[in-house]
Amino acid sequence: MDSEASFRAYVEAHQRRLLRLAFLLTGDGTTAEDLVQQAFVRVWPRWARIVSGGNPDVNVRKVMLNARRSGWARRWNGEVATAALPEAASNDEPVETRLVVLQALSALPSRQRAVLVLRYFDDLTEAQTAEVLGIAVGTVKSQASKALATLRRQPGLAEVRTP
Amino acid sequence: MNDLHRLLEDATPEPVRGLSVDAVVTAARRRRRLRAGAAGLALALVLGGVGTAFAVTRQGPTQSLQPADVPAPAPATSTDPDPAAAPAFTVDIAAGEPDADCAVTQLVARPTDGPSTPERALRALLAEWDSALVPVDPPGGPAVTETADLLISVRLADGIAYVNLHDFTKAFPWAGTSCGGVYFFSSFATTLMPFGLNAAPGPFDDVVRMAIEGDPRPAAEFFQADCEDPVQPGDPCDPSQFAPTAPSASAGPPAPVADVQIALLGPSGSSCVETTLVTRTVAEQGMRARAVPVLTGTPAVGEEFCPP
Repeated sequence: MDSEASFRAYVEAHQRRLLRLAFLLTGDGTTAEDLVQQAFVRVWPRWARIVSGGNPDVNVRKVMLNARRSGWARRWNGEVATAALPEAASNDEPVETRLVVLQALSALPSRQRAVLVLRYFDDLTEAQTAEVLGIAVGTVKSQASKALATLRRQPGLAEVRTP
Repeated sequence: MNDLHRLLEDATPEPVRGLSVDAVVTAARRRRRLRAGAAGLALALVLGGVGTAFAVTRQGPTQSLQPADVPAPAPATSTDPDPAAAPAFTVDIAAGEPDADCAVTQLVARPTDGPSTPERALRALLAEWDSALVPVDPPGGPAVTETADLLISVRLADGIAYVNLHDFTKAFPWAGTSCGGVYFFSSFATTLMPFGLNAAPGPFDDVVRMAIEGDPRPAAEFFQADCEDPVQPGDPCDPSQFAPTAPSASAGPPAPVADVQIALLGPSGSSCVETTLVTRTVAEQGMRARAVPVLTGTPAVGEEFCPP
């Protein structure tokens, strides 16, 4: 399979997972699409090298996180963190739980949010998360701990468990 | 329902539509073409004596994003000018740096189709900014199918750059944010520096005056400028400030102020809005420039507006 065919196959196979990851990072579907496309566009010229390195998933995520951090994707900032949720969540209401989770994510500092999503949605190891974000493993641990503590203070999320 | 992985899975909707693989590949090819040929070109060799201040030192994230398999172009020399190979010099934010200052932009080399001119440089800059642009028919203007075509014209005179743009708000929605707006204007100022807007190293003042096609109020709102409703005297949408008797600001930049502000100016009854931005630019770290937009304070009847 040549480089372009390999790239196309990767985009086809992984874009939906990346779109969901980007959605959790940005809180906006359109911005998530921009972010993922931007990441693909940026890795394509180096695709052969990335594939030969054996870890395209980490590389693509790294580029995507860098793009998000540097603001190359649309600089929409539609999320507004609030100190309190508009209403209490109920555990037996899936829609409300979803909103509570998204609201809680949006209230997290950018790095904590990224650590949380990469570790517990994307199931990256601490080392992989550190590599993607360009930070130390110890920082991943501390940021994850803080993020989880913040998350558990939200109504309905006090009992959240992690693997 | 308390497993965090499951909660996060449930919180993300399945994308209604996926990305078009063809569109991704097309965008990647376009970006690659823009970057091809840029690597290794030294601004100093092209700009002669001016080049020392803005010599391209490929470093940082810009370098890391260069296509590795694109052959570097033959180096230009001052004795072998090839107009067709002259690069445009556009700008790039200090990308990839955490907490990057949105106003910090830097010159990077980009190829153009012909001799490097302010127009070609700005077109390269606009083309560089990927966008969600779809074919747009600006009022009274030609269809814009490429972001580069958002540029109507540019002219430099007496230290002032007059830039006429089609409505770019849909193409570059990020420019409407506080950070995006500062970056947007800073990029124009920095791009035009090699063309005489700023030829001298060290502290200097720039004036970039933009005319943006459209009505004043939407443009003001896009840039988050506060316009009262109804319009109050002196606010950015006040049409009285565009009266022909208003004093001209073209005599020179005023003293800078501390806050980042944008003045929206336009002739009364015109279909165009002129956005005047005065940037105080200070050379930093060789090629890097820091542009701080400041309000002109004095509205002007612009010399150039969007064509009828």
